[in-house]
Amino acid sequence: MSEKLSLQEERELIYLLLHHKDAIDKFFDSGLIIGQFSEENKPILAAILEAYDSSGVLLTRKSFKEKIKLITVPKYRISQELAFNSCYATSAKMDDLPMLIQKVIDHHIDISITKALEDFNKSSKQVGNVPAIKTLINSCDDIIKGSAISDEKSYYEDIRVLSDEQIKYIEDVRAGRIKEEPLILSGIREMDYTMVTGFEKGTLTLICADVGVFKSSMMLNIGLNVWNYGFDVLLVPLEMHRDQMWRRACSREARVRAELLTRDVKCLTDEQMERIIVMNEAWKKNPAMFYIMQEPGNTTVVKIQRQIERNIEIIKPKLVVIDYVANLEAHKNRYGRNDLEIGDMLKTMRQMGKDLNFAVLSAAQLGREALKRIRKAGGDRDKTSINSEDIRGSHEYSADADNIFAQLKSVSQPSELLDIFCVKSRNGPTVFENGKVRTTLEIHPQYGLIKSPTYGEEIDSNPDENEINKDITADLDALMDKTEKDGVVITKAFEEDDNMYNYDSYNYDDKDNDTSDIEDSINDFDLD
Amino acid sequence: MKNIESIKKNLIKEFAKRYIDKEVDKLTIIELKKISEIAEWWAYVYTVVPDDFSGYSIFDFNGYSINKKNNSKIYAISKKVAAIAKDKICNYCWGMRWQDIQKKKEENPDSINVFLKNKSIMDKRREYGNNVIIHGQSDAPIGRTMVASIIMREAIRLRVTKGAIGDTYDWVDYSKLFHSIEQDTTDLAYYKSCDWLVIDNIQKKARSDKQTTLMSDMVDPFFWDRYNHQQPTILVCKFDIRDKMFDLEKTFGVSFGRIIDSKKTFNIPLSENALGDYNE
Repeated sequence: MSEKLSLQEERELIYLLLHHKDAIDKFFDSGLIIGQFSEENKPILAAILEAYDSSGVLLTRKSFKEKIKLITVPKYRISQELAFNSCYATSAKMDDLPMLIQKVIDHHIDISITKALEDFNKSSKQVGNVPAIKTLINSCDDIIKGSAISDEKSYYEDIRVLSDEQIKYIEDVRAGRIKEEPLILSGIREMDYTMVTGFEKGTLTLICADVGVFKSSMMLNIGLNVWNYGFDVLLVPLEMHRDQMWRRACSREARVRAELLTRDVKCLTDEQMERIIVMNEAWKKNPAMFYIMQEPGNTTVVKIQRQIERNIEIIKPKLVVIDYVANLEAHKNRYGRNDLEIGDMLKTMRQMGKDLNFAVLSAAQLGREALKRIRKAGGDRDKTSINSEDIRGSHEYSADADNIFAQLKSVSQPSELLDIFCVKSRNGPTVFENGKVRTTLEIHPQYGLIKSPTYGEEIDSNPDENEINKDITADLDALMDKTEKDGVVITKAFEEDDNMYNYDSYNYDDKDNDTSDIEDSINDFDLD
Repeated sequence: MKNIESIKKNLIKEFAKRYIDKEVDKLTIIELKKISEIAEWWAYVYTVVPDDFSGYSIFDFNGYSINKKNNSKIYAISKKVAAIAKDKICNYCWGMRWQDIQKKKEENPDSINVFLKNKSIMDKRREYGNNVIIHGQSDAPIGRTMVASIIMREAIRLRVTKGAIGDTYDWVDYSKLFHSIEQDTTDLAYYKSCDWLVIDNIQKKARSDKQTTLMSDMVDPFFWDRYNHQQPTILVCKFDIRDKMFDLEKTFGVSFGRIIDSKKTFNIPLSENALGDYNE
């Protein structure tokens, strides 16, 4: 079949999808996916399915134009507009729909089989006929089953081949020939220390905590941090409405108390409103995308996958934040076995992450017994492990997750400090920089802000305050001195007698405590 | 460890009024941050350190108290014992001798607190897990708890000076600790895991051999735990650890003996007998 002819059939099929809702239903039932269409038609198809999925309507020229406004490169925008016009100007009858679907499938099979034969030709020369035929059989099998969606082929190779590739990559990076792929960091120093690979594609990171211990806040904070670092983020809030999510994000970024945005909007001062506007401007300037996905009905992993695939031209998320997996609807029926359903979802999400190049961040509720055990373990690394039965919902969580962090409110300052325990880290150390399994973060509940502790000049993250920050240490000293001199509480039992001690006359030598190491180190930084 | 938030809130209110002459909601972000840090330090001091001891600094420890009726000094410990103790505290907290600090104070009394803040080596004490044993045989108050409170106060100060917001502190009587170990209460987890712990009122009591063995077997793992994890523990004993008639390891476990014998432990004797080698 010629390319031109197949493109025309795709256009006719799209014409029907642009004009008949029945056609879209039948399209879903056919098992056809966007990946089987030509590059120029993929965005149109994605837009059709999105319009139908989100609002149950057909895609119009106007809404398509609105959608492609987001594309910043004019060349791409114009080419998509032309492709849309071509589809719109074609004509087809509903009775032709089954035939057109079959034609598109056949064309995809044609392309796939040609590619498989090309690969066979190449590999038969390299590895011999028998292994090459076996690979060809597998490829044909995949094509028939329609599973050859991913461009990535299965890998079956000697480690030495991989080693050569990896070493070449390292050498190229070292020599400056290629740029090292930037790590996707959480923005929370302590967590980034244990997650040495950052949010790598195909990884699953879990935040475990009891009810009301800032799980959603933590996920939103990380999501916003990743976005601020210039990576696309997709947020799937399953517990909260998107308006609420926006208010939280706004409160955090503009440092405006959340309740002012919720119920006391009229009490917002001009200065606070100004901060919100500045925040919004900064968001608009960010070249990366932060998408929120909310489905009218229940959200399934397949729906998330569909949305990502459809919008891959606009947003390529590097991090998908799901608040949280247990609230997703199962895409496979496990006859009431919620644990197995969650397991399926986790596995599908991870696979999807590998195929579509993103990491998944989610949360899970932790049993109280486990939390108690973590708290009791204190500094003991061996006792902080989480067993499969500790995470509510499924035993698959602990096995599938690459990183697990448990969160507990600080005992002494439950609304201002958050204790974080590193429970699992597949690729990095399981202790924080302080050498312990526990570290503490600052929470600002009024803004929903969670961050690494600040100290000294970093005392306020607002750059506008930098001038004031310069003198903060001196001011703190003076203030501390004042409170001490004022003797805030004190009733003295012992009083000073300046001439009382002249210890040299006692002729004593402190030989018990060999602290020369400390003394040496303090001599190095004499702050006097 | 208790919740300090309400004390902190009250202190913020008080400090805002006293030092900045503003209501809390009128403070700028930076003013609030400053006030909060100092309020937090004091709130921890008040919560952790027992009442009446929370305000003491090294300058308050002199070994005598004042009889309010006739304004005379009542010596609880000898000058020599007090001088040695003072020197030891200074060594532990600032890596300096008392004489040098005193000299500095004479030179510039107004900046002595800032000087000491900058000289503090408490973060290193925590890192190396330097324990302290304060001891002296006496039923009368001889300043044991006071010394512990001075050290604890300096440990808490790290929150402001080194941003050690993750540090945790606790103060427990030995009898309460023993009860927690016996009952395996939640408090025990805090005593085990907290970064700085004072165990006050450690006493020797007459017990049968069987009882003594049972008790030492119970407390031994606790001390091992803290010792192995290098968490500084300040032991306040109401007896002289050099008393040769008293078998420490039998009463409090092998790990207790290990802590005392460790080179990393600071020994602060508060009675003439407890001075041991210093008398020679």
